[in-house]
Amino acid sequence: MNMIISRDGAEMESVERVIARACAVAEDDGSAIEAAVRDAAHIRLDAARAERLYTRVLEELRGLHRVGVDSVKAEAVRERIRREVRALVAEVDRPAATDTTEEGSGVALVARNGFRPRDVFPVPTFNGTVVPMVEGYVDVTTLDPWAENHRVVLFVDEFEEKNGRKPTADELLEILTGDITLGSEKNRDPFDLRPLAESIARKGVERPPILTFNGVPCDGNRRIASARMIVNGRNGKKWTDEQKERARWVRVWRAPPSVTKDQLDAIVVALNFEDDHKKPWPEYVKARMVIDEFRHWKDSEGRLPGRARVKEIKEAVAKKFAIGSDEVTRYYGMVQWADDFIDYHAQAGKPRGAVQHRTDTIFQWFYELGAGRTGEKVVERFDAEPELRAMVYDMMYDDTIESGAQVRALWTVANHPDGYKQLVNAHQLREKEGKEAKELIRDAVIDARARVRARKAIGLDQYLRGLTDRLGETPPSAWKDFPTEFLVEIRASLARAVGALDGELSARGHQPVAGTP
Amino acid sequence: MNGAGHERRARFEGDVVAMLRDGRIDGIVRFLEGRHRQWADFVEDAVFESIVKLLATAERRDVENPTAFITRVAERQLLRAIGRARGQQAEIDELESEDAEHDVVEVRATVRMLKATMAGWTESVRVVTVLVLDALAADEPLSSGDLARDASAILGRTVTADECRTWKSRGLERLRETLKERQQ
Repeated sequence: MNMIISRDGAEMESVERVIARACAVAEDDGSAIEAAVRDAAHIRLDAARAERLYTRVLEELRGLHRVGVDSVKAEAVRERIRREVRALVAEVDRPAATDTTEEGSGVALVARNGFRPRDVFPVPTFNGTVVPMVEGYVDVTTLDPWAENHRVVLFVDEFEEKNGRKPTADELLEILTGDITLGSEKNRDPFDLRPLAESIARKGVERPPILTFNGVPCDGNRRIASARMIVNGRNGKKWTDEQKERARWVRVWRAPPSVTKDQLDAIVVALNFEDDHKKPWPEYVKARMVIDEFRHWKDSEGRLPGRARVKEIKEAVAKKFAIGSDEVTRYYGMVQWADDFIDYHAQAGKPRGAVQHRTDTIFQWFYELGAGRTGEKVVERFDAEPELRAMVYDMMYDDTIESGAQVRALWTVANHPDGYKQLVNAHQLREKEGKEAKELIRDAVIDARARVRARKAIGLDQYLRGLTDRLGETPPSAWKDFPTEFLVEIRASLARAVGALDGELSARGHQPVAGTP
Repeated sequence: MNGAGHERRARFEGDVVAMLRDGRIDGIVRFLEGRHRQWADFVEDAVFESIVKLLATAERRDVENPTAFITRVAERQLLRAIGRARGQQAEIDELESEDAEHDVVEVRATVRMLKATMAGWTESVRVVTVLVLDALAADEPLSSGDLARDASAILGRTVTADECRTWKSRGLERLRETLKERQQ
């Protein structure tokens, strides 16, 4: 030992290092590392790598080196190991190999800009579901938009209604780019692709669209359509070759071939329900999905679920869509009246696609329609008074009713004979005198609010009489228990009220009462 | 290798196959690739070597957590490989990079010398400190459970991981003080 100490500081440093490292030995039971490893194991090795590593490991375990490399016995051991490895590798779904381009095995990912296809790491998690992905570049002209994307589904339905068939991939692209317009859609750029295309021409697609293994975009329809708009030179805009090339090669995330419907749903939900500053889906589309899921769960029960079970289902659905269960309740009410609205107009012969578009546009109004206390909702009268339902729905459809606030006031309007008469008049006038009909609705709402104010004034009158009596009966000693700040506040309020009363009395020719504050 | 060693090795061989099957070996590769992204090409070799080491260790003693054992050994192997590839020490983690830099032979020599200063110590402190230094010299990870189990076997009574931690701490502190005194 003295030998070490007598030498220079380098050896002492070595001793210090050993002690420092010894401090770290046996400090834990390895459970934290094991947890991290298990987490990382969500991305299994691709088949080629797994086969390579597993073979080495099993050759070690089976003692191949002890058998002798060239012997017949060694070959038999090797064959057994090969079979065992193949079985092990095939037991689970594995991501595609990332060091080659795999033509014919899913959408082809290619290397570009020095970036080779590889596993996305850390493994992406969508709404709590881990979905391993491979990222790489893809030629956007090989991708078609997804017709089942919830954002475009209304347009697809309308196209089908008009043409008696689903749109082709090219037609769907033209619907997205606005080259095909549908009757109910007046906007020439219904998906706001043009500004997005400008951005892609400048910078390329920055956020990778998410594709199924076969290249169907479950997220990124707009980005893909915009990029194709540039590559195909649509919308009359002249794009440079450089811009076209930039738009053509899009970095994407590709799901594994084994991706399940639940995983796909989790991706779609996470990317469209969680706020990420992208163009959000219309609330009607989201509400529709949520309520379809809720109804599906409820129907799967086999019998009518009790209140507690409905609450559980609501919470489960809310969790799936990463929203609050109160939102499920809200959507439920809205979708119920939206469906009723659609049914009414469809039965009246209006094109369902157009009605759905209108429903989407005014979806918030259905919340107002069902809002209010029980006994104070206009929809509660719909069953007994179908003519009221017809008037309201007709005027919601053609914009005679102009806002959610007007919808909310409908109960008050319809609850008074004068208001009801104004509704009937507006309904009769709206086709020939649309402007006049709108004026009538505005007036009806104003009148209804005035009636509410008057009723509230009557309420104030009764309240003040009670207060006056109470104050007159209050003995001086009753005030001593109140905190000083509260007394000061009461006095200030009384002083303000007295000022207002003096003003009113003075206007009426009365003299102020002496001795007031 | 004695009968118990054979039995342990066979058990650990079964564990390794189970780890291939349930994805833990894949997870170790992915975990290390994530920590050392630029050096992914070395990871498979490091993991394979660490499995070999686990089986060799199993012939001598039990291992409480084979997953953590393989991961730790593989990371050390990886850091050494990175160090060799760079021609200098790996930069990733200060302590671990020292690990890579510090030659195993030098560590063993130092440990031998340290152990020579421990005669006359309280038995429990000495046993635990020696076990820790031996693990270091053998370049084998030792978990708190492994240490408690081995110390219990040597001392002939059950000792807890917490007791071992305390004795280890005292032993290493005493080594430092002894060395300082002798240096002065």
